[in-house]
Amino acid sequence: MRASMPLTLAALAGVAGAAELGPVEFHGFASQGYLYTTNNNYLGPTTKGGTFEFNEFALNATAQPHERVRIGVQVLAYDLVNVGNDKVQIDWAYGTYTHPVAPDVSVGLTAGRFKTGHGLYGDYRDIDVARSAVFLPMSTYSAKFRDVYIAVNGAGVSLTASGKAGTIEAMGYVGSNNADPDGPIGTEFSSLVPGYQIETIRIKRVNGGHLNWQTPLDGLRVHGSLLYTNHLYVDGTIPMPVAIPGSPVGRMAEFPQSFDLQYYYDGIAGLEFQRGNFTAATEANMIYFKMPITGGAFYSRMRSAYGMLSWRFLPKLEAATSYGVLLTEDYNSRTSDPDHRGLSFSLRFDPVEHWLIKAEFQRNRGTALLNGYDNPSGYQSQWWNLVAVKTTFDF
Amino acid sequence: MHRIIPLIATALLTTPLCAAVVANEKTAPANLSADDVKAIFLGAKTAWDGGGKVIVGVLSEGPTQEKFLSDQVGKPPAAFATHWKRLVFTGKASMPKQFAKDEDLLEFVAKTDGAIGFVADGKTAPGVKVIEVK
Repeated sequence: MRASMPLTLAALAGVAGAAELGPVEFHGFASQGYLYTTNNNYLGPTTKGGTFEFNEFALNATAQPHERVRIGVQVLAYDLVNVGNDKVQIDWAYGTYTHPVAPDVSVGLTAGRFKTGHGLYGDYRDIDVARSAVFLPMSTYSAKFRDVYIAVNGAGVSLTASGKAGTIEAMGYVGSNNADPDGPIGTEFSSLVPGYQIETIRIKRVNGGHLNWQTPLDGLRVHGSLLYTNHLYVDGTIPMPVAIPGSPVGRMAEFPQSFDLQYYYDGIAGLEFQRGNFTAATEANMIYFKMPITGGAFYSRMRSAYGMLSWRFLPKLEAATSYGVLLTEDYNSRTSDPDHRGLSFSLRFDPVEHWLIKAEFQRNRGTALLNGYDNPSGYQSQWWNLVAVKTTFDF
Repeated sequence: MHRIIPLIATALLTTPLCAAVVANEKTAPANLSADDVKAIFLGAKTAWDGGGKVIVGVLSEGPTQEKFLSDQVGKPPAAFATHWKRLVFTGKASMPKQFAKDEDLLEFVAKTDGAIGFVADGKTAPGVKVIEVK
């Protein structure tokens, strides 16, 4: 699929302007940042001198061959310290058909690889130009499970209706997904077993839906979404020493090792209020998952919430702040696992259209977002700071 | 009197102009509801009720743009730009065509079937009709 993407884009460009397709639009962005943390490493070596392994690049092509049909594809490469590593992937590639069924009511069918719309801002995790801060509140939009939410390969049905009660947009979808072994899920499982080489990560079934309600109160949006995965398979090998009969010297051999995250539920609800240059948002979510292990199963529950404010106080300057909390719990023993609390301040500067610069400072407490694999000497402190600077060009 | 005239002139020159919604005369209706105008300029309404694609054109900056976005769309320019980038980079819409001058936007609307935009009140061109917003 990855190798055929350039060919697909070239083919799309080749028919640009053809009567059957109509005009094809191209857009893209390039983001580059610098990341530094104190005390603890975040997703890789970020404490000693920081890192420039922090970028996103995307290119898309879209067309509207009929008033009721849209089709498009976006390829994306991202790097967030040790995850992503700038592998070019299909971010989305889908078609949508929309059909009016009544005045101000339409239904739609979407098929392909498309964004799930999970959370107020889940679709914009990788799109720096689409948000005020460098990072979405990490308590709720953790990089660890990015690949579960980012998109689904499947089909969805949507409904849009407008009236005196505002506008409702709802979608339900079914499908599957694959995750990059070098992505955050792969890194998380790699840390469980030293030397674990992950070959594939497949999510057999992804079901979910979301609802956005633009209320009659101007600027107020209400959101709710559910996402459920069934059987997230992680397959790989572990090198282990084996004896050679009759020889005092052994050898290393690769043994298959698989994990099955049997099910994973995530429900989220939020509000966003935007009036003039001021935006306020809050969300709360709960995650529950089960993974069988030798002799039983591991259950975990995570709950998070955040509040976020942003204010464009000058035409080219915007400030934002957020506070989020993530609590994790071993569901078997009802004991608390590592948690996270984070306060962030960020500034966005748009000197000219199509170019922005951001800076962010976070004061964090807790290790829930961290990884022992990245901190082999142990966590230096429960308190750690994060500083990020990022610039993005888009067209 | 000498002080009043410059003051009036300054007020006239700096007060944002009213904006008028304009559309291609072949495909657009004579009037639209305020909700429909908002839906069009936020990418939620992409087809005309009588058939055909909605093609959106906007002024890239200036007092007319600020006035229109504030009155009809409810977003300041930066939030409006962010809204459209969210749609474009998730594949849900095409970016509106942007124009620095009213005359360029009017020329675009006149020659493009299904096009709609906004200009300073009182401006028009052959092939373009002013839409009454109810």
